[in-house]
Amino acid sequence: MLGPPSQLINLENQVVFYYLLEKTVNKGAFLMLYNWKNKTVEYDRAIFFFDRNGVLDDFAFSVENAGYEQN
Amino acid sequence: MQDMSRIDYAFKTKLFLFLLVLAATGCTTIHTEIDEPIKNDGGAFREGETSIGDVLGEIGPPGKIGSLGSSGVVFLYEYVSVTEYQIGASPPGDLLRWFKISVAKAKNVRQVLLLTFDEEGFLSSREYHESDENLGSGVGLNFLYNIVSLVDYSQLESQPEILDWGYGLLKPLPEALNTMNSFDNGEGGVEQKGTPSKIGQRTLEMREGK
Repeated sequence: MLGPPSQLINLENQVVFYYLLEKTVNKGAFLMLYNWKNKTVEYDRAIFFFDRNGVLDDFAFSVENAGYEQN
Repeated sequence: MQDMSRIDYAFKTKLFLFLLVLAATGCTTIHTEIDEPIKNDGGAFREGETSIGDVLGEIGPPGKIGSLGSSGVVFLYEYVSVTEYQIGASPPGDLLRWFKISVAKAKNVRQVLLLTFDEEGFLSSREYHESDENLGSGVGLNFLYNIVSLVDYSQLESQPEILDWGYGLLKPLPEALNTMNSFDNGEGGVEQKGTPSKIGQRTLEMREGK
């Protein structure tokens, strides 16, 4: 359903599937007297904890920040 | 009457100089924001009572997660907001007027929430820290129509290494040999952004620079 995780972490009694999506937004203006540039890095995360038997214990996901397209 | 004209003259001179400085200089602000501000400092969490599930339900997935071996697991939530201020002026001259000399200063607002859980998955410690950091200053000569950072804070902007994908296989040998002690794979603990690589577990990686 979600595909392979970005990171798989082996804990003592659990396995963690960690999904991460990064999006960077750059904005700026050059007005000679005053110039500005803003860079914002946003993350979408989902995390799943499985026990030794592969049964889901806990999970959480961030409120979507980075938009993405699903094929 | 003579006094009035003298005041007038002084005011006009100052106004002229002010406009001249304004015309010759330019201010630049560069702002970098990484992740979202931490809205919940975890003050309501109780050690020995709050579980991993409670924390995940309350504040969502952590920015970094690391194993503490048989002692449990650690969550790190981190927010970084860097602002760099620059003021610059164009030197006189036909060629030099296309360039500007700028002076820059940068600061960082950092929020960190660190939570550790025991082997049963219950909170064993909590630490929240918010700080204003001075990142230093810089001077540079660059093209007039360009916005370039003059203070090096690249260590705070590094991308999570888990997004490096196959590039991780091309690491220098000392880094590859230290994989099991690295903070990057989640099995050797966690570290804050910008931590120097010349201390702790990264020492053996013999990284160049900071």
